[in-house]
Amino acid sequence: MIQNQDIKEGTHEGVPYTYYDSKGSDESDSERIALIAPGMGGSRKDDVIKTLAQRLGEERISSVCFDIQDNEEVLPVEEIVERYQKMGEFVRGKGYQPGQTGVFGTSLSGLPAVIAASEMGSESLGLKSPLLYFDEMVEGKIGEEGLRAWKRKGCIEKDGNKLPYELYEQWKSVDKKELAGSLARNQTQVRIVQGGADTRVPLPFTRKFYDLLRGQGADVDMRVIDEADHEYTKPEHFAEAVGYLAQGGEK
Amino acid sequence: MKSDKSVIEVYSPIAKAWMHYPPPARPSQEELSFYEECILKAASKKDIKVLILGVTPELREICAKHKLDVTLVDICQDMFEAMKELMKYKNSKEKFVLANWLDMKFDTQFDLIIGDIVINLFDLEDWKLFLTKIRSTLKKDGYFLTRLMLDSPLRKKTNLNEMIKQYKQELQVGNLDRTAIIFSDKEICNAKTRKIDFNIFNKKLKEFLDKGAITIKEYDALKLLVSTIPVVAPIKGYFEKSLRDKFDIISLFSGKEFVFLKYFLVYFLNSSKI
Repeated sequence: MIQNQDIKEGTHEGVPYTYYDSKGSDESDSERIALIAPGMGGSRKDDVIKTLAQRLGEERISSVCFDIQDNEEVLPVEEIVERYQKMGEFVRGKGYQPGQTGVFGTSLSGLPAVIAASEMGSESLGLKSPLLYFDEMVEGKIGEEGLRAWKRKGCIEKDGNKLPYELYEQWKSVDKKELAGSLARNQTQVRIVQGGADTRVPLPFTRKFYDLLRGQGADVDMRVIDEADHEYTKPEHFAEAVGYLAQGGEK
Repeated sequence: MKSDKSVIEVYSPIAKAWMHYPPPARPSQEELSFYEECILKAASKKDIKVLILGVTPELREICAKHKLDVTLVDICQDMFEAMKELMKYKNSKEKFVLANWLDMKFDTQFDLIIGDIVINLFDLEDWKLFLTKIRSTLKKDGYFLTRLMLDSPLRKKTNLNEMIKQYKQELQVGNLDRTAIIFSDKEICNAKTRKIDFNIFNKKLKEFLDKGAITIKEYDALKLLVSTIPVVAPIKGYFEKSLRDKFDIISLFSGKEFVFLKYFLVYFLNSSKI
């Protein structure tokens, strides 16, 4: 049982973070740490992120939560991945090696989390309603003409966030099968939670990645919470999603 | 004991041409500075014993410069002698052991093991075995210093056509990311085994020459010089995961001198955990 969790705010190489340092009852350091990022327009101080860090603390897992946006403009995929890597370096400085580090991604940080876990050889990867096929979703929604208009404008706005066109191109260029193969090769434990009533990241897209991972022989488990929306608005859905991720999933 | 004839056939042209090889076939100046910095850190203890995997002259020179007690282990003694001829500083304390890195046995353990592009020469299923061997050959608080070629899922997808276009515009090989082509092309880099066959790169380039799309001068500038030895290069995380329970990462370095050096990382590792 956790005795205390020191919470420190800081910035590492330009990335603001909150560090939840979990100590056991014998005051020894925890042996594992999670790198947690929010989704589009989210903050490391959002309830879902804070609650996840606290729940992980109960399992004696420390956490570093960090932001993936500095203003209304969504960062390119590689810059979000770079933030995960910087946080990986930060926790290495605290004595945590890649094999002791887990990666969490939520919604927009889903694909960057998958890439970061693959690059860092992470022990585990937790994904909450991950946006993995943004390119296909956009193609289905706005079509070729919409894409051309987006390219011309350079940037579009969604829910107060600015989305540069290069985001679409980057998402499209990432070889998801190769990533799934890499996670399988690294024997990374992947846990995915998804709302069945999510309209922002619909279930079939998440299931597609789950099937891809299974096809590559990865260690993957997925929990679908039937009535849950993208925000897990109902408290019981929220509790189930966070509890599932914090426990590392149930087989 | 002399080296096996087939081994000599593969390696002796490399020894002859070594000094003409540009990075990444040889470590770059920046990478060598990092190597030296780490070697000096390990040598802060007195009278350290160093083991070099292979016969890389640049690494031997750094050790010679700092008068370190060095043992080299390789499967080709002729290569050891041939590379010595290329060295400006020679080390009278160098000892040579003819052995395969997976089978090597010593009466002593080492404080530092160094090897440039060594684990890449093994199939993926042997990586953990190799690291276990290195770990057992090191003293408890020893160091392993090594450069590797590793892939990244963020690399730009590209092809030979694009590279040739870029080369014709810039006329500089240093700005070209031939490594990205190697990783992007599933015929050159096998998606499952991650084995890279450099010959296929050169074969494909030759087709452009035969079609008249490039000149012989352009072909010579763009072809890969090291084409005889296949290497295995997974995404970075595979290596870092393989380190678990054997080594801690103290620091890692990737050069900025050339664009392709981002796929070449030098790891300074410590075995103190066990």
